[in-house]
Amino acid sequence: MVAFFMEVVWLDSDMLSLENISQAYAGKTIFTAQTHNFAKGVTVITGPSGAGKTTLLRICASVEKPKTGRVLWKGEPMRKNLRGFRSGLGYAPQRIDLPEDISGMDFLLHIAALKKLRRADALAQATTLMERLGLGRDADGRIATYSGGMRRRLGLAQACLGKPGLLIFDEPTAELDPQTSQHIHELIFELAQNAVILMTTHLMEGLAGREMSKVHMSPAT
Amino acid sequence: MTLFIEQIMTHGRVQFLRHLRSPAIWWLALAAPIGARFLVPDTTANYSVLAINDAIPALDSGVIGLQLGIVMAIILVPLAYIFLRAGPTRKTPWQAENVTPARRSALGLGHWIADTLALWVLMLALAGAGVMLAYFRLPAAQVNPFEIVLALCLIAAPALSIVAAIRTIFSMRPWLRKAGGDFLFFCLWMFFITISAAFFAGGGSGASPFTDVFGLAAPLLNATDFPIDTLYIGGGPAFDRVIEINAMAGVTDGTFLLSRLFWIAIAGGLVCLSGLVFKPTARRWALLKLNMESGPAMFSDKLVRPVSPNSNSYLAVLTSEWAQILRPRLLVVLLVATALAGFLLPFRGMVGPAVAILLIFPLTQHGARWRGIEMSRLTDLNPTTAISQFLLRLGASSLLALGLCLPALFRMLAAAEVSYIFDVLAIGIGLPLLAIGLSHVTRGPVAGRLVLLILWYGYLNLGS
Repeated sequence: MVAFFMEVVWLDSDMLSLENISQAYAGKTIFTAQTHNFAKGVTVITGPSGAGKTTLLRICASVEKPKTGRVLWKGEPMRKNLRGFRSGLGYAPQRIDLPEDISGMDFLLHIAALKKLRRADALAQATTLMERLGLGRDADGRIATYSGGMRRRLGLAQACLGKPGLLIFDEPTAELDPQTSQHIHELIFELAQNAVILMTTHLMEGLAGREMSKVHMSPAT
Repeated sequence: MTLFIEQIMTHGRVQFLRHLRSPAIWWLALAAPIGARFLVPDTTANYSVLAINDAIPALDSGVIGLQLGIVMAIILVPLAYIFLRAGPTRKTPWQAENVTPARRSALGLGHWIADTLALWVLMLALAGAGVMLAYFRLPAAQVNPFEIVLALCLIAAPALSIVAAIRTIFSMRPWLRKAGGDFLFFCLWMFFITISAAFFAGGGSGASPFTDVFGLAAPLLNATDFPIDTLYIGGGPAFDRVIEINAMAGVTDGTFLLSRLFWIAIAGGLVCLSGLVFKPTARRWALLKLNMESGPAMFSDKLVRPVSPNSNSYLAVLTSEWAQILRPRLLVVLLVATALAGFLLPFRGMVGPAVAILLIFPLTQHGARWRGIEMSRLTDLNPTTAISQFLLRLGASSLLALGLCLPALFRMLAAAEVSYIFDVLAIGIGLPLLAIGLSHVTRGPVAGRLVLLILWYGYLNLGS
């Protein structure tokens, strides 16, 4: 009875669950069966290079399918209602080949339109996000003129557009200085009040003292 | 000198392996038999691929090779250029290459050799397809695979190495790496064809194989013992008359062979020299420096309010598409002025071609803008599905093109003149479909740009 009650609570909450997820490419195992529940708040995934952190995030973001197992979002298999799942997803991969010849603001407005946000709402939110991420002054500048760190922050901004219930950040503070990383972390932990956030990082120093879950991945042997 | 050659070989090997590891080259090689089927039509076909003085050459092994070689040297040259500019080696590790101590000329020569070899792989695939086809078109005893392969290669191989050289030279200067290079290639291609046609289709007066850069007409000089008055290559009527030509005499003529070696040497020499004028893409760095000099980033502490998706309208996407296409402002001014000219000037020959040429570059650029592989993976995760995004892009482009034709359409309807409605539809729907479709599929603007430039040239010359 208790277990049933627990199950009902579990289904109602925003939670991402992995059931026996494994991945392999061309016969090479990336990671073996992983079973985890990720609740609202920040979960930091750590591990050495090659452990499969990015692959795990790509599976959670529905970019690729796992070899075995399944991903559940709010208790439902993610692939059962992919469109619904994606409407509440924000994903910032490590690399995005951004369109060079448009402005950062135009880029965000286009992504917002694809996320079905009203233009006025999108403009207000994109402006706030750019200011939060230190891009306010360069919002109308062409992306071709952005530095590596600015591109990284623009990639984060597009993920935060709308009202994502699941945010996935792959190395959000790579290429960024400690002060900028601090601002990024503040934004991420602010958003974590209303979302499940998964992020990978090699830089745990900047996260000291913050409330979060940790998952460590080891390379498959 | 040894180091210079080593640099050529190393860079060439890497580039060639990049070609071989890409599926593009193998797909094209597999398509060769299908292409050959149409390039050597049988006797029942209602078209001809090669016709001299309103007659079709009698098929033998040499003629099959010659026909395929000539078609490759004229019609397939733009495709070869597209393959190189939009193919697997379009992206270079420029961060490493810009600072390498290796000589730029050596890198260029390596690149040229690799591109040439890749195109020759495709040429050999077409030659193999020609041999197979010969068994269907000729009695088995008359099939001579050696003649087919030799005739094809002696014509097409130099032409393809010239295309590879143009591509390499165009990678040396910033403006030639982009649309400027594609436009210049189109102009060069047209120019070389015109020069060849002027010398060879006018009765052979003054014709020398050295004036025929791609070698599309020169092999016929010694293959025929009569002057060439008219020449159809690629698509001509199905003539009843058949003439005998000696294809092998044409392709093995000493002057012809010398002219091919001459052009290969010129191509290699120009590639080597182009290394001396190499310039990295500098504009971005200049602008980036301005960004850096504007001081450290300013971070605000405003709260980010979540915004629920609340729009079922696609208007925001369309608005965003138009905002991206219609830049810079000068383009908008030119488009509006050209569209308004439709009230006064004839559509065919003036307004139509002007609208088309103004749309080709921004539409092909826009079609490829969001098609980087990582970007596609990201945008595919949005609630607006990938197919909807494509259709919206196409719709925005089409509405824009049709809008620009409206004044001309108004003038036509007012004058009860509907003969050019097809032109309006071609520019309003066909052009965006090709521009967005080809850029979407190839993930780059080159293919759409070149195909549309060729079609545009044909449209310009339609006459009224």
